Amino acid sequence: MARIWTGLAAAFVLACAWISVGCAGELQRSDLERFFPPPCILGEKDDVLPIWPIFKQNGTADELVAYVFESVDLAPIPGFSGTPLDLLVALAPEGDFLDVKVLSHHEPVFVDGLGPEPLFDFVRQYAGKSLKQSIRVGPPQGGGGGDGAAAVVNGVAKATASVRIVNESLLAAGLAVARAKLGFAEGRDPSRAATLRADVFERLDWASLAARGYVRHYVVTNEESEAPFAGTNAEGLDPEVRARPSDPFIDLWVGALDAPVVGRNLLDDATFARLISDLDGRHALIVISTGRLSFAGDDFVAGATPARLAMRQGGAPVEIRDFAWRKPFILTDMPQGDVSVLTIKALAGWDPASPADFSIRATREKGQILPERISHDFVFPFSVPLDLLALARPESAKGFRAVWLERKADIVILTASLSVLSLSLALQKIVTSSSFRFAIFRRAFLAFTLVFIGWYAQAQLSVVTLIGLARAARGAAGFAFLLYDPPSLLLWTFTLVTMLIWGRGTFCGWLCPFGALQEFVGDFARGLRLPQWRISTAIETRLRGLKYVALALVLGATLASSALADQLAEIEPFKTAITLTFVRSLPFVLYAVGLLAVGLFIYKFFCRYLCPLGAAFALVGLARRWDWIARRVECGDPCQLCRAKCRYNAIEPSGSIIYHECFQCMDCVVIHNDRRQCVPLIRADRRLSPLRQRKAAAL
Amino acid sequence: MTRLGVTRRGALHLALGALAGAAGAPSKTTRAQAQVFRRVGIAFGTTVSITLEAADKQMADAAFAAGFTEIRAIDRLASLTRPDSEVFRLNREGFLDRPDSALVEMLHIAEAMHVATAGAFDITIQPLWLAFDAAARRGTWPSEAEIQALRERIDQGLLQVAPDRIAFAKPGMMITLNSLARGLAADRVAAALARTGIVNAFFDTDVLGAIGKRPDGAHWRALTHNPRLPEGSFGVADVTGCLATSGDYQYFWSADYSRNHIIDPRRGVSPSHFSSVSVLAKTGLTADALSTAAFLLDPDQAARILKSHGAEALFVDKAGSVTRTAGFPAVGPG
Repeated sequence: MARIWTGLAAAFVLACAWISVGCAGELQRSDLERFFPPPCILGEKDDVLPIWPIFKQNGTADELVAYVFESVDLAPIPGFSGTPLDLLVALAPEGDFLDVKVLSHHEPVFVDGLGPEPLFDFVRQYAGKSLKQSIRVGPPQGGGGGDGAAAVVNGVAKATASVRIVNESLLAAGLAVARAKLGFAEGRDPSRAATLRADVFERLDWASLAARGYVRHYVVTNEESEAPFAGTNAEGLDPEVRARPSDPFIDLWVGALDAPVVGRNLLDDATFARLISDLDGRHALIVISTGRLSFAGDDFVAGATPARLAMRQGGAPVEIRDFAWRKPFILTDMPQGDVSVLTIKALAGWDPASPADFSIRATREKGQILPERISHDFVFPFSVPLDLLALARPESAKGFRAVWLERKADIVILTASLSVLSLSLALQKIVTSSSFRFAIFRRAFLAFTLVFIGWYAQAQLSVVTLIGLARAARGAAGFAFLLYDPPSLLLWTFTLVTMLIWGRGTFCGWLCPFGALQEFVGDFARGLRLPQWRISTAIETRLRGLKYVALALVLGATLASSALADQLAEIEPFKTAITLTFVRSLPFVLYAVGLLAVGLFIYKFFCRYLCPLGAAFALVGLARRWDWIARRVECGDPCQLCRAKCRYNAIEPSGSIIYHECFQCMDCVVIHNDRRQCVPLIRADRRLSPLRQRKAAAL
Repeated sequence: MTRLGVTRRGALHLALGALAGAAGAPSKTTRAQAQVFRRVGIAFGTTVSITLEAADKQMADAAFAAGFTEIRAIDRLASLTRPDSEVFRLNREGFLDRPDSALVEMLHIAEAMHVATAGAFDITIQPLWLAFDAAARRGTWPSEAEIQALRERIDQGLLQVAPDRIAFAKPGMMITLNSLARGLAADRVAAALARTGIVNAFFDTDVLGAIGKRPDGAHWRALTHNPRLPEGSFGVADVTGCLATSGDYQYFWSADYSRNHIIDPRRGVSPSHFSSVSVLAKTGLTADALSTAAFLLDPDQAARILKSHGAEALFVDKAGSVTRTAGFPAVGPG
């Protein structure tokens, strides 16, 4: 019998093999020339980034019309299969997307079922959109559009999370090119940077500005300046260290001058307005130095980057430049020293909401002719107080944060239902006290699981995620893809935790939409009094082994090839039955319906014998902490009622529960607590009742 | 409101003539089996290209690889903005140990030009350029006093060049190799192509260069742009050796081009004689340096310095009238 099933599984694997899958790999010149035939001229590949310029001849000149790149080279964001998508992107020098094509993808929902067409349609929407806009994914049937500053692309139903990952990949890759080649978006995504609030103002003197952190102050004394040079050739070269140890070596003030509370206190209102208009959306920092080591000094060039001063944020340099601002400052108690107004070159080179660092370089020289120079960078943290910041608008937020915000309602409902479930399992005695009411509760919850979790929230957990995790664990990709699907992540977390408390049954018996569907099919069969095929214990044991074989095959294929693993994962009918609600090509629908049909005669056939995800959960569930299903000494010997009633064959003849096969239908718990069903209880009641005792004696 | 303008630096482009439409795809030529290939790239902030005649695609690819490697190396060395550029490091630190030989080569030419032009040609002009550019972007212009203060740190004589160390004698100095690097790149490309067996080629590193002849046996020719008409030209001229152009229209800070990227360090203003000077010389480095030098001088001095270097030139003065030295090829319809 087991051999037959193994054979069937193998046949299924072979049947899947015809499903074609796109191929990945770096494009060569000849490939790109095919994508961009004359009159496009494919230029010489860039020497720093994996990007290619495309030219067109305009008169006698070669005009740069686009940069072309593969998204996977610049932003390998893993999709739901764990493998990054690869998009071919043509980006105009002004930041407009000219063309986006899908080179390869393994997104489960697009591999088959929906088919790749919706994905191709989705990426086609990017042509004409600009990286300078904030591009976000809207609802599937939305009107798209947006305005100059924001653009909306229509999402794809049933593939929301996948197309968000496409959006992320495109934007991240595009911005990387924009930063390097197009001269904008340096540092970060413009739409995610915070802005300074224009409405915070208060008349303050310098001391108060400093006290509130609106201007930051950094001091390094002469004595402290010696420490970094200790042990070098420059040790002890500065006579001031000994002469005036506590005098400041560095005395530096830094503040955001374009924040009105700083700027309008330092400048008169007309001058401040002029500054803001001159800045044209850029940020300005005021830097004042009164110490011996100034950022200015002899080598200071107006309009240039101060040679000794550097600013960094998130590990990347922020390009600062003297703004050559020479208007007088009006604040009387301002420190007197070298003053510079610095601007940050790109519009969004600096995110004021994130911490940054300033550093000043101190250089000592030893020797007269060709002196040896020894330098040290003194680093100071710089941040803007929160009350001055307007954080990026949530509706323009991108990435997984936006997904979480958008699915707030789903998350709340799911969290509430999971709480109800945990509570019910914890208080099982009370919940199961009435077998009728419990039956109603269980059917209601399963209906919720099927309709809300499965069909609506699209949160059917799947072995595909395990494949993704396996790839991520091997370092082929990251784990971030989980964050794009909040309901699934919530369920995964809940399932893992409950697995350690109650075993795999909490997911398999309560939260798996396909499982719920099968249970309804089983109830239907029972209603029709269809004959049920009772399977002998020996065969049952072998059949149960099949799912572990399926799991091993799927995970083993992950090591061998992505495509094979994707195909093997089709042993799960989840995508067909739940994700795509049976709207899929015929072989897949036949397979899913066939499994359900078998389920009419063999209760929950797929769950018990074939499900690789269930197999994985059963293995993890071995770590379960306690045997929570109450048993009596009479269970198994002599009473076999629960065992006979268990539709999963998950009770041993000895009466003990096989937890890794238990789906927590609670039938045996209900029986155990029911004075009218549990045989040992009935017997005990008889013994206790005087009338019954007399009757027994009479017998 | 000051108008800012940037146009392509080169005034002369490859006149495609017989090659029109030969973008990327090889075209049949009159010589047996030889094909013409063309490759375009980006360097020096502009478009660069190599057109060559090769026996097959493999040979062409090898030549392109060698040529673009040279262009990239010089671009990286001389970039004012790339942190890994030697010029960037020199400007930031004030000194540079163990400079690349190409950098030293350019600095030696710069020294000779500085002397020959009595200080008009000066690669330490960069602080003034930066100040002008920053001011123009804000719609202002530095005052006379500010310009004078900046001129304190502009003197190529204060640039100390030794094979193992380059240093500024004064703090705050900066150099620019924008009048030399493209020319040197052209020379390096010529050598690289010759190494890979290419006999006939035309290349544009923003300085134009030719080796050999066109596939039809004629000289390579270039279009001479009219500096006052972005799409206009005076016609085409034969090119042998290298051709470099300096013009006021290439980067300017005032609508009348009077404030432009070529600045005379002795007075802190842009010179007023020419709107463009195109120089034809044996090497790209000489052509590039001479075109800037001649632009900075008055017509008589310009003619003398060109003669002493055996170079020919086409001058367009501010009024738009065109003159050329005796040896400069005729400009005519292509």
